Amino acid sequence: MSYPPEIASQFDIPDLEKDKLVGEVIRYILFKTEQNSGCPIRREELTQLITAKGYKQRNFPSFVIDEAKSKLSSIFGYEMRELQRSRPSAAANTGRASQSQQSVGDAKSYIIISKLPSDVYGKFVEDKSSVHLSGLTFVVIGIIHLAGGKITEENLWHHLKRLGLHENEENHPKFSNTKQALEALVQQRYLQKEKVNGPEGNIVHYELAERALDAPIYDKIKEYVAQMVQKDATPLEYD
Amino acid sequence: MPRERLNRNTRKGKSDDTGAAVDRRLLRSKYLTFKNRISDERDDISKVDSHKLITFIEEVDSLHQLVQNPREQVVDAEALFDITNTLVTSVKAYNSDGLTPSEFVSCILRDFGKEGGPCSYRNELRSSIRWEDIGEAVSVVFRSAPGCRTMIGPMNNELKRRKTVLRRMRAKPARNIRPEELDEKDHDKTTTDKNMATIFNILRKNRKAKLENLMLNRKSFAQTVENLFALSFLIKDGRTEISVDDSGRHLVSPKNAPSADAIQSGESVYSHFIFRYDYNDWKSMLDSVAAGEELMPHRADVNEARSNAEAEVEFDEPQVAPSSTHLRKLCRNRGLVMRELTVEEVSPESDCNKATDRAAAIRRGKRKL
Repeated sequence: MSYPPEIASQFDIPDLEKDKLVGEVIRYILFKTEQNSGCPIRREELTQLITAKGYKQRNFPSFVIDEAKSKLSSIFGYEMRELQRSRPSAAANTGRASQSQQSVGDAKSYIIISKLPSDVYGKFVEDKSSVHLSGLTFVVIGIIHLAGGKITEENLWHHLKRLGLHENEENHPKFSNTKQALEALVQQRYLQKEKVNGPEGNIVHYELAERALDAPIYDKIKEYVAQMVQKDATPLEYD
Repeated sequence: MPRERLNRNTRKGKSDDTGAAVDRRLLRSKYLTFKNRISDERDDISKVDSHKLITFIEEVDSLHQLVQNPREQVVDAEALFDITNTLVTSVKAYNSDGLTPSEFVSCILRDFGKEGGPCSYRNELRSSIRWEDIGEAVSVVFRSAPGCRTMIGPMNNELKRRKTVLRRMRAKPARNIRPEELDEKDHDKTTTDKNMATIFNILRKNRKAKLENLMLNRKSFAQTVENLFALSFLIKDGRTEISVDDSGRHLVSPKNAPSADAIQSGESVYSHFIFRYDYNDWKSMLDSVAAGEELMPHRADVNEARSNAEAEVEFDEPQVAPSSTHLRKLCRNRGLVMRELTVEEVSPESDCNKATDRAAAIRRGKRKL
């Protein structure tokens, strides 16, 4: 693999070593995605892979990560999307943002998404054993989106209860522990949880996180939700 | 009289208080029911064409008229807060093109509930939603990429190198010391054996000897005990016997040891007795045995013999320090101090002689450089 001379020259590292590093980053992403059940991989972890080997040049980790991105796309058909970690809205409103701004600026993470067409993906790639989790993810994100992007825990469970999901249930036929299933969405950064001190004590709020708010996913969710609801539209309603 | 009136008034006051408490409790219970209804019917409250909101406001207003105490005021304020909160949430939801989460959930139930619609029973509702169908319908939204399942575990496993063991060089604590070499002829025989042989030889000559004459050593209580010790072995082996004559004297005489057949047949058996003998007994024995009648020879002291031998040599050779055994003593200075110890016998007959000639334990500490 030969890199563009103007870029490769600034690092003074043989191409063979660069290839090796890129390969290690790709390998790490593939294994970690499976190991974490789809949770985003922090950029710090990828950078650590490179700097731990003694490569301290500036911008070299970015170069390697970019190369890994292009190789994942060309070889595996995976898009490596970068997500910027979002802060809970309450923290932003109370001015605590300035304190954590620096750390948030660096809190980038990556997920991999298949680039295959929908029909091919659905037919050959989709994991049938975990497709019900996608359904739950969609429903929960849809509920919170329609609630204004933020909902109390009590309210969310009120809606989920109508769908047969109860907060303290541990033996659901599909999800086993429903609370843990919801917690997994927080781990995967579709949702974020926040505790707010209210007059009645601590209230937990669920909010959409960066992965759900990522443009391609968010737009599609809005579209599907609208389609689903509009199916119920009858001629009488337009009167 | 006034006391009766006071009691009557007190009783009436108490019953009034009880009645008021019951009313207040009832009012709080109504507020609690009201709050539960707000929670359950929140979706209906937020509907555009619903009059539920007006009904709820009127209801809470009527309850508010009955409030007199702070505790009920708090409950009243909480109920009003719940209604307001529900309204605010529903107004926020109307930002999404007028769609509410409730409508969305109703659509899910309609499209993906099992045939027959959702049931009121919890168990049936759990299994009535086709989550897989929802997932398949929206899989294109997420398109999660499967990773590699071939190896989950530590990815950078490094071989642990065995720690090299550094052996400390141990310095020898002292110069090499050769142990004392014994004469070869003395190797096999112990002192007891020699004493046994001496006693047996005496008995062979004398045939019969008085016990006290045989064992007594006028000069040494210790050697008397050693003689008795050696005699006991001879008796145990059956090579001597002690008999008592008519006058009560104990006589020792030699005999042949019993044969193996005699031992096996039980003809010859062991029997035990205790011979009690202490210093006082030795003292009285000194009086009962005339001087010179002792049969066992006095055994010269080992160190005394050595020192005598050394004294002889002294004229010919330069003085040699008495042999000693270096004892390495474990102490705080980690064995740097060496003690040269010469141990000499100290016996009870100190009144006899040897205090001036014999040296007590000589201890000289030499600091080892």
